[in-house]
Amino acid sequence: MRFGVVVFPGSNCEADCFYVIDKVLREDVDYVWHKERDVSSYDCLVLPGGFSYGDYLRCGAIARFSPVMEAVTAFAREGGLVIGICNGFQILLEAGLLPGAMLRNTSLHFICRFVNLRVENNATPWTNQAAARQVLRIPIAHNEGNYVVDPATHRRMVEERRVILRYCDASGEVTPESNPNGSLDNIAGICNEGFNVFGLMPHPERASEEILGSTDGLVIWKSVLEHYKEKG
Amino acid sequence: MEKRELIYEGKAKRVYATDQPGQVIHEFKDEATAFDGKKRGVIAGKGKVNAKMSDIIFRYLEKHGIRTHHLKLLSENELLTWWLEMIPVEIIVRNYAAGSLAKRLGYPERTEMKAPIVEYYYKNDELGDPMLAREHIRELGLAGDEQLDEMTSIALRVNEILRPYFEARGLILADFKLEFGLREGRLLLGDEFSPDVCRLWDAETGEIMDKDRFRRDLGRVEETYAEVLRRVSEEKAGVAVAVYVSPKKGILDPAGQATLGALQSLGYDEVREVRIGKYITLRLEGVEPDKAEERVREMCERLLANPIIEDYRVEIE
Ligand SMILES: Nc1ncnc2c1ncn2[C@@H]1O[C@H](COP(=O)(O)OP(=O)(O)O)[C@@H](O)[C@H]1O
Ligand SMILES: [Mg+2]
Repeated sequence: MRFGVVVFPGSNCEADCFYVIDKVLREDVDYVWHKERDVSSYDCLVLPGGFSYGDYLRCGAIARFSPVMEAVTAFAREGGLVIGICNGFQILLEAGLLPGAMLRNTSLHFICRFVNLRVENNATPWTNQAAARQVLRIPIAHNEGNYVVDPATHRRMVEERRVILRYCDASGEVTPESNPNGSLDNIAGICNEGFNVFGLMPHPERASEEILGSTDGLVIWKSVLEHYKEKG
Repeated sequence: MEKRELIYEGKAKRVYATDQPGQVIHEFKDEATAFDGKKRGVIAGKGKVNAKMSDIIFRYLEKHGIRTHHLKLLSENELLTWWLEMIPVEIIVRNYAAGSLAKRLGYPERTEMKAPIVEYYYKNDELGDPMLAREHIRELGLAGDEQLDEMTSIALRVNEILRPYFEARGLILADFKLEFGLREGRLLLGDEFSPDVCRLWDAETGEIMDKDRFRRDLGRVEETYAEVLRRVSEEKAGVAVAVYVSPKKGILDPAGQATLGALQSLGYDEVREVRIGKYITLRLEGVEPDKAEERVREMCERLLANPIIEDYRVEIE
């Protein structure tokens, strides 16, 4: 399987994603520069975290107009697999590839710590290796992860099981206390209608080796490999 | 203002002393030279064009915070400026490959640079104006490191100001040369800004609109200088626009909430709501005021605001 890690000016998690795909998953991976216009040779595109374009104006607002995003959008519309992590998620929202928007964390703090996430749907390209309602321990690191979306869209997303990850406590209970940033309905990760585009605030690439304190991130990476093997 | 003795005669200008201390007159000539003086000729009307254009450009740069030697246009082909102790380093800023840069990098002509390139040349006719690295400038003692940094950042700023300025007039600013000097220890931009010292290409046709027409015998040299002056003289009525972006009603505003709490804890109990947004000012050129609002609304929808969480209001001045 061939991954492309998209690099914007100000991305800073691209090397971690690259490393995990290359050294842990042992799959093919390239960096894809933000000026690239052809992404057709990839099976999955990763939009990594960071502060693209300094997060000026709004997180992801400027990155969304970089040349590569036109290609990413076309790729996604044709059903290509796209995962946006943290700032990558914000870019997907700004680009309209996923619904909703991000506000600042209610605490006004940059939050960097492990959180617990409940897998709400394990029948997706991104979570098929998770048990039903499995709790994943993966770190977050962001200032704007307070997800909002209008009530009608939210209702539809829940009905269509497109809310994929929710912040929860260690036992898997979704509680207000386990919500780190004020996110609507404790939402941490969502998919588009086709489930081929996935955005999440937590960083699976930072929880993919024992030495990092958790390998729960591998559930996501291995799911997408499995999906690729099955569906081609 | 009295014109006194000739201080210096160069290839394109004569510099005269005046009865005012520290002020000089630049008389712009029609004579043109190229390739280190190997090619010579006359471009009728060039002196007037270059004096007038320098006057316009220097005033525009001053308005945008660049300090220059410029005082005023005295006659059709004469500028009054401060006398500067010139730094014999020419600073070139290049947005596109052309001339020697295309050769040096092996780029096809007109390749756009990834970022503007700054080069330094030794202003020394005997040596043929060789290119210098920073270390050469230090070795020759032509300018201090800090001074060179300052010249470089001013040159890049001039580029940021002039690129859109020329673009609004249908011209691509491919590259240009600046000279700096000191007045009472302060660095000022000196010399001239004209088609003699920059490359301009017509944005639509790609036609060469600068001294390259003379260098390469492309013909219609006088006409082109006159056309550049005509475009530069065009008053582009600027439209000032203010955009207010605020969190949508009903959308939580964490920063506003925190500030509300802080105000109340200071005893301002009457404060019931605080919403924190953004205030953006824009200046548009070459757009009719009634069209401007429509354009800015589009900018808001696409980039300046996120309609999911933000409202915006546009005010045209
Ligand atoms: N404000 C100034 N004070 C003194 N000298 C200046 C000033 N501005 C430009 N000069 C210098 O005056 C000369 C202008 O004449 P020019 O014909 O361009 O000369 P050159 O052939 O040496 O380039 C240049 O040497 C330039 O460096
Ligand atoms: Mg000169």
